[in-house]
Amino acid sequence: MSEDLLKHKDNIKKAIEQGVFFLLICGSYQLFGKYYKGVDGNIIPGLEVFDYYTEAIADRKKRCIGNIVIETNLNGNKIKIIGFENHGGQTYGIETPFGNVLFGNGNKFGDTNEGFFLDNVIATYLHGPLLSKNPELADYIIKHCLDRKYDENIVLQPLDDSFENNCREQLLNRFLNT
Amino acid sequence: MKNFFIVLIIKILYLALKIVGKKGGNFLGKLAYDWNSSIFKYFKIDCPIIAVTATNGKTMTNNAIVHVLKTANKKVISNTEGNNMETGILSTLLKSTTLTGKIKADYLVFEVDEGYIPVVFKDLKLDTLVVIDFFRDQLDRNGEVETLILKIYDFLKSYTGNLILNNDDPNVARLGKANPENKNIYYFSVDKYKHATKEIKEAGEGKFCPFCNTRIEYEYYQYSHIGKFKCPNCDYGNNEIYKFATNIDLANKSFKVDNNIYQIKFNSIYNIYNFIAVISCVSLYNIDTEIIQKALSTFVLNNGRLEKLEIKNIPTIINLAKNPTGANVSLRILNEDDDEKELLFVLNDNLADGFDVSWIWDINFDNLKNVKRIITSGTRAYDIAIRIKTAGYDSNKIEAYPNLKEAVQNLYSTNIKKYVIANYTSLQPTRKEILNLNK
Repeated sequence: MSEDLLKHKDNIKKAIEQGVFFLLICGSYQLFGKYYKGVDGNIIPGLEVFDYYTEAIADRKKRCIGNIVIETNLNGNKIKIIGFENHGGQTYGIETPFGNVLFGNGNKFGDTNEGFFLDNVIATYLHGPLLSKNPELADYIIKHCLDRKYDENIVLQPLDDSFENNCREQLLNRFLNT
Repeated sequence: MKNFFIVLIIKILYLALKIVGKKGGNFLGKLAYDWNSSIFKYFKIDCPIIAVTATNGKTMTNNAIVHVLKTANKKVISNTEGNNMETGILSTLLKSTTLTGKIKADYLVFEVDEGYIPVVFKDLKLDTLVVIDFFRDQLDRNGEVETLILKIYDFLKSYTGNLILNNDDPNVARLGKANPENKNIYYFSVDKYKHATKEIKEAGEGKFCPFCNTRIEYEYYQYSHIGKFKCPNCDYGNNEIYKFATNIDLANKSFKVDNNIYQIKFNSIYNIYNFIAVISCVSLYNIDTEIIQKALSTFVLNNGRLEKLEIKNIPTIINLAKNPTGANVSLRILNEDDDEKELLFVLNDNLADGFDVSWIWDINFDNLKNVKRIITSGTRAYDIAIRIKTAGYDSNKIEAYPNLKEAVQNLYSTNIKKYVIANYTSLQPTRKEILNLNK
């Protein structure tokens, strides 16, 4: 996987510079950084597109697993993002996180920061599935892509998100008020 | 001596619990195991021990084997209530043992959690192991299914007892190669059924040959990754079949093995796999065909595993689904039924369910046939509603009620036939709430 990805390093870098939107989850988040260092000290080289790096936690049995809520800033709006994390890797060297952790672990055990965010790149440990749990994030990405293609500040037609909103309300209540 | 006292104390506790009307479940086994983890060695067992393992279908197959053996007038000890980890099996043994560790029975039959085979049978001599299927299940607790298979594969390297394997599951059939010295390997298979497909319809595991990494080829898929497969390179999968079910007629609930017709009470393809496993197993112990036929024709499980009920005169089918394949086979049964119906899906995310509910995205909700309305409930009622909506089902026909009672009451506001799918911790509360309507 890592080897295959490295073959496309130059094209990936070019696409990021040209503003193509990248949503990177878990393993792909890690491989866009400098490297992933395994428990035995083995190094899996990353694309080195960004400066962060990931190290496996020494105890194989320990992983950051569970529901997670973070708060991020999308176009000036503070948005809570709900997801599920399941990772052994601990990611260091993040200066521009995706969000700050309200519930759960984040980049490392008990971290205050989660993920990496830079203009057109969101890298995160949040499965969820992420987009169905967080319609505002889905809209943000769609709008970003449409604006890039058509260059005319597009306004998205509203959809009926009542199940999604009820789901968020219920889960935020449960995770944040305990 | 220590073990004698452990057994004595457990016996007293068991009696005490019985007097106050409690069953004990795993508790007594856990107590004894924590005390001495090699207590399994204490038992003197001189009858065959049979174990059944799988991701899906353990209880069904285990209990059917027990039912057949009992029909043949054998004394059988089994964990038929599904306590299938080392502590549950130990509890079952402790209840039946004499103080000196003797267990008097013709057969011990255990369903065993996939992860616990090496633990339980480190010190107990296994006579027959039946393996039915391996699917993705609770990733946050179990990890990848491959890790689980390798653990059992390792255990089997030195195992020489009977090994009964599903030749239509590439994850299971590979276990037959763990010990080339073992001559007691028996494969079962099921002939192509009416709704088998050329392409895989639901999420599956094991697309590549575990021995030479070539992409496995399928003649047909029965459900998920279960079907007639072969490695085009090394011929893996091409085994001699011990028991082969043919003439699969789900509408009439019957199939044929060795020219004998078996009539059953279930109508799903995965049940045929359960019962061909049962037939393979009991045939090794020379149980008469007539007895097997008679036993299977009366065998039912009244615990929400494809259970059929009449609630306020409305036909209702309840099925447990704790992973994508479980849910997908339930939806297969629903789609193979031409009648109009409504679906209730109850999804919890308690500890025993796994906290990660993302597995619902591997359920195939596309093209539901003649489903008039879907109601969702459980601690994750909205998650499952969103999943179904995303599959393209009309969201105006989906109603989400986190409160189970409210969900069940709304479900029975029409006279249309009901299908109910519930995951692990939601199954019994759902069943109870539904049965309450008949009171």
